Amino acid sequence: MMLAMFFLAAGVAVLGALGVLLCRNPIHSALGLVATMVSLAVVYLLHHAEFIFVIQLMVYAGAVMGLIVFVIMLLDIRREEAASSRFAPGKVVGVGLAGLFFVAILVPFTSRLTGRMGGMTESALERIGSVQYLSDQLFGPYLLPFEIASILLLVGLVGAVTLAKKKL
Amino acid sequence: MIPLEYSLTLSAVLFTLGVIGVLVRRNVIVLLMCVELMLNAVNLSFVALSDHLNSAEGLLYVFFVMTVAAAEASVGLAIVVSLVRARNTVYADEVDLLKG
Repeated sequence: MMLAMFFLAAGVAVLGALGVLLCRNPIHSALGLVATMVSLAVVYLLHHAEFIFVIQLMVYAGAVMGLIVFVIMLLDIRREEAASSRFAPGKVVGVGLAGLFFVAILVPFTSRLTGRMGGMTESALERIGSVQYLSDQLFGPYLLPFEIASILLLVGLVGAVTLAKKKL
Repeated sequence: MIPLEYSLTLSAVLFTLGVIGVLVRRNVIVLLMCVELMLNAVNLSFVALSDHLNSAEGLLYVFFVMTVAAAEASVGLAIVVSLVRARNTVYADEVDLLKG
């Protein structure tokens, strides 16, 4: 049953990603990306990552995609006309190299991972749940990176306002 | 229990599709979307491996990757808006001057 859910979500994710690549209209690409992100959230849930599931839906499928769709509509972007050289040599070589890259990142699968050393064992998950375990880690050993992430978001906010202003 | 190989293969497929998208598309906003797709693929492999290894570190890295992705999307889209104001184009191959 879980495997069937996984294959359904994986199929929708790959179809959405193909939609991002192939649609000429940027709005259709954005909707394909939303489909990919929602089905990836389902995969996260199947991997017992409830917190990541929720923030994937809220941050990615909600906020980031809302921002992208907002900018597409703000700029009133029409359909992308095909490039003059559809099969330019650079593109063909690039896609070939991307295929090679795919093969290259599949190679590590032949090696076996050993050692399940982490603290998120089945008993710990049953006792406190993965969200509480995650927050204990986030506000304990990972407190400094957490604060740096908040500063990064502030810098992104200020940078976006500064860049989008009419007169710098 | 989802086998690790399935999730990692899905992650590899999505990442490669993102790379191909960055290489073949011209629209800057679609390029940004393909970058988001690649970040999502990496997040998937983090989640799958942290599930496989019983470790919370992968989930924490996903949290930070999402922070970076949100900041990147906001700044990138602001750059696109100012690019359209300055040059009136959204095609990456028409923006080829260091000083315009």
